[in-house]
Amino acid sequence: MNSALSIVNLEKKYGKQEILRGIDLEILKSSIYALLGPNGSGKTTLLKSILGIVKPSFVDVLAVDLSTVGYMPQQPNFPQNMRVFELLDLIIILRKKPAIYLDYLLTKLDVGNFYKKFIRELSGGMKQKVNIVQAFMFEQSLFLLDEPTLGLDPHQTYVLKGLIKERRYSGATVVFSSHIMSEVEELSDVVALIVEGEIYLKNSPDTIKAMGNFKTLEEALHNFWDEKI
Amino acid sequence: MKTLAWFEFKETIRHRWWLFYSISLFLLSSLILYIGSSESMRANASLLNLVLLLVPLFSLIFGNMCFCESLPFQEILIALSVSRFQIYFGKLVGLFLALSSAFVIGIGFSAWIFWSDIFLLLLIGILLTAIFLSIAFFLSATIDRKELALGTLLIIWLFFFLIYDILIMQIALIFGDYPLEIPMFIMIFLNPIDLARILFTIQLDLSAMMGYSGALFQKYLGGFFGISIGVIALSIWVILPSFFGYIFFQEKDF
Amino acid sequence: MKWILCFFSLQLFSGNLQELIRNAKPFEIVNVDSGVYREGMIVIDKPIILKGIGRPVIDGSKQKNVIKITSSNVTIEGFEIRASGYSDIAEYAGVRIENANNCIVRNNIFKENVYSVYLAKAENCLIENNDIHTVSNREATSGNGIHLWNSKNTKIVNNSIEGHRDGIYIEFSGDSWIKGNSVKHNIRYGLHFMYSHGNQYIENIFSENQTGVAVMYSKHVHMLKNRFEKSWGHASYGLLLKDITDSVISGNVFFGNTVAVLLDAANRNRFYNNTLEKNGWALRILGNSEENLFKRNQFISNFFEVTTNSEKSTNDFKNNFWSTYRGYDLDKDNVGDQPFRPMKIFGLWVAKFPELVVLLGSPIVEFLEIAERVLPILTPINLLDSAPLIRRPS
Repeated sequence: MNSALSIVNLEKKYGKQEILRGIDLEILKSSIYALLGPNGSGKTTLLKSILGIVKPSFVDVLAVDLSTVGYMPQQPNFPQNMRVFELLDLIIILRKKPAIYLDYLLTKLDVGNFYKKFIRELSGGMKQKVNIVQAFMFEQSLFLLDEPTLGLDPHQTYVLKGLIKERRYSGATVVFSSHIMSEVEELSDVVALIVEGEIYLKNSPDTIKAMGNFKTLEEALHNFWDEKI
Repeated sequence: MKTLAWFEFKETIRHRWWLFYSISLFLLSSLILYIGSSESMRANASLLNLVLLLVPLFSLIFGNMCFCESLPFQEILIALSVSRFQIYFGKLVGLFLALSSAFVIGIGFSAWIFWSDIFLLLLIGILLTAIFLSIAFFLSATIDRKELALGTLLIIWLFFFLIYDILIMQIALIFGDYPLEIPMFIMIFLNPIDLARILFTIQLDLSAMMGYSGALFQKYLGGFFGISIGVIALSIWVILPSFFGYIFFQEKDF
Repeated sequence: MKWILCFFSLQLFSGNLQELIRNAKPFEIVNVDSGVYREGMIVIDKPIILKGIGRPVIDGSKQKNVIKITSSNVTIEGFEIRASGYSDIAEYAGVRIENANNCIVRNNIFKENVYSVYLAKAENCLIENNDIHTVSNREATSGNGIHLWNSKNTKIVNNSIEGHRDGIYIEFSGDSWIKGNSVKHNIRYGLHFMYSHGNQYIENIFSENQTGVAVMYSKHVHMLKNRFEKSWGHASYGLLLKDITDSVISGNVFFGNTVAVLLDAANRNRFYNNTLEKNGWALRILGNSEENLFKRNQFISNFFEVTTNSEKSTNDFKNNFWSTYRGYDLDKDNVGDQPFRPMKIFGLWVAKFPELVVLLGSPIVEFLEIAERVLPILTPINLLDSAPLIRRPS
């Protein structure tokens, strides 16, 4: 098997409301896969379905090895009354794996100066850093990141993008959702455009641009968007 | 699960509400014991009512609050391939340990100061903590909308604390001509707050005041045997809601 | 000289009391040396003073009466008398006095008798300073500590009675004077009157009997300064008044009883200066009880003060002290400005539907009481203390 993740015909409904309709995804190992789409299109639900955080209403195939996933949820909400290191310790115990990148990340993201603070005392950016650490501190083969750069300053964004690339080159697969076209274009090998719970377009950024001679991915997608409407 | 329960315990006892709960239990029970020092029977009855009022109410609200607050973090736990069983019951056990220790510290400390014998009261309080946390978890797992869950919790509390007794009263007034011992006996088991109170009052030997209809209660709820029966019945009240809550939690979407 | 003779004869006849009594002359003092005399069914048929020296034991070996007195003017003192017989048809006692007057039973110990002291058609007897105890298990097979039948003018003073069916039982007997006795742990009543008029009992303690005192079908009974405590159980009363009229209950203390006083067809009785404290119910007045007067009593920390099962009440309450009274006294005359209603709606319901006691201690009961305070009209019965006291009378 050469794929890190494969999904065939995944559906999710809340009552009569269909969030995901028949998603098929085949994500190759050692690649970066970007999920794009407007708010409410189902990106987060898709990521959560992969992890089992949301139970799919129907699915034919959902092949993923959850024991080796690093997950960054959107807007982390950690237990308020624990200290950063206590939280990370818990996650390390539960993961039952050595956190080989912990020290590296603490230094690189400058977590040291709030390592012993309570989560409730942290700013949004600090929490997002903790979020990055908890997802990236293990040796994982698949990373699922839900809008990972939200709330980060340009420097931290740069560091995170570096991390993503590092992992990809050491053989891991990264799936992330984003609104920011430039970073999608910069990072991803494949882009999937999700609209109203369906994958509307799935290709490499370069191919998408070439399809209509667009200069940027943003331009290309905007064009597709107009067409659809 | 032990790890998660311990984590939850630590997280909860650092909560300012935990401190507030413990201190208010201490102050109120001290006040009762101080005022009622000359009348131990009334003081015991007041202490019991304090426990029956505060413990279920706080356990329900706090249990619901903690459950809802921790939902985002539970996503990370699930992604760490921790089972939902461990997440749910780890949290319940941890919260239970934290709240019952607040209760034991609050009431126990004032009893220690005033030299009051409160073993049974502590037992009842601990069981009520477990029961109402369990009910809170059941409702939080089944009702997704937070305000709706909170409203339902308050109604349930009011029902068990007050409305149920009004019903008992109505039944006695309407069907008073029929023998009511056995229906009453069954009704008592269907309300953990009433069961806890009867268990306590019987041990205080108030069953004598129930006349001949008290004999049934005395027989099955008096003495060590009665405490055992009561503890078993109350334990069922712990197990059922938390178990059904878990069934819903297994299928819950975050 | 006589004493030496007696002593001599005692030596001779030691072990045969009946022989000793047979040989005694009327009005002689017969001293009995210490030792265990295993002979029951002793009959004393002449006026003698039988006196134990060093507390000799007379053991009836559970055969009929241990001692039966058929003569007047007999005194028995200083013995330990035990093991009277049990029978389904006869009532056998440690000492049975029958058709005899002016007898004295004093300073004895009674143990394990079915009945201990039994008076039938005896007048002017004195039962004093005896320690009477036994262990009864069942009401049906046990007898009474001191039993009076058709006996007038008996004095029962300073005895201690434990473990019988009734501590003291008085039937068809008038003018008894019962004072300073301590009556405990009897399996039915501490003191029990049946059809006995004009008796007085004063300064006794009735403790942990199933029911302290039951006064039935009697008139003109004086009950003064007694203590009724800890009669606590399913059918336990401190004082049970059944068909009692024109009696006085004054200066007594009722403490820790399930029901302190029950009035069943009790009329025209007067209750003064009693203290009723920490009872389940202080007063239970059945609807057939009328025109009783309650004045200057103290009701302190009872679960229910007064309950009755009738819609109207002709009983009168005045100047009592109620620990649950919450009125005020603007003119400072120690009389509250609002009347007090001791009968609560919950109390009424419990009287009608005893199962409701399961709600004892429920907040609903507190709410009802608050509601009644705000809207007195909720209280169904016009039973009130028009002038409740603010402070406890001294």
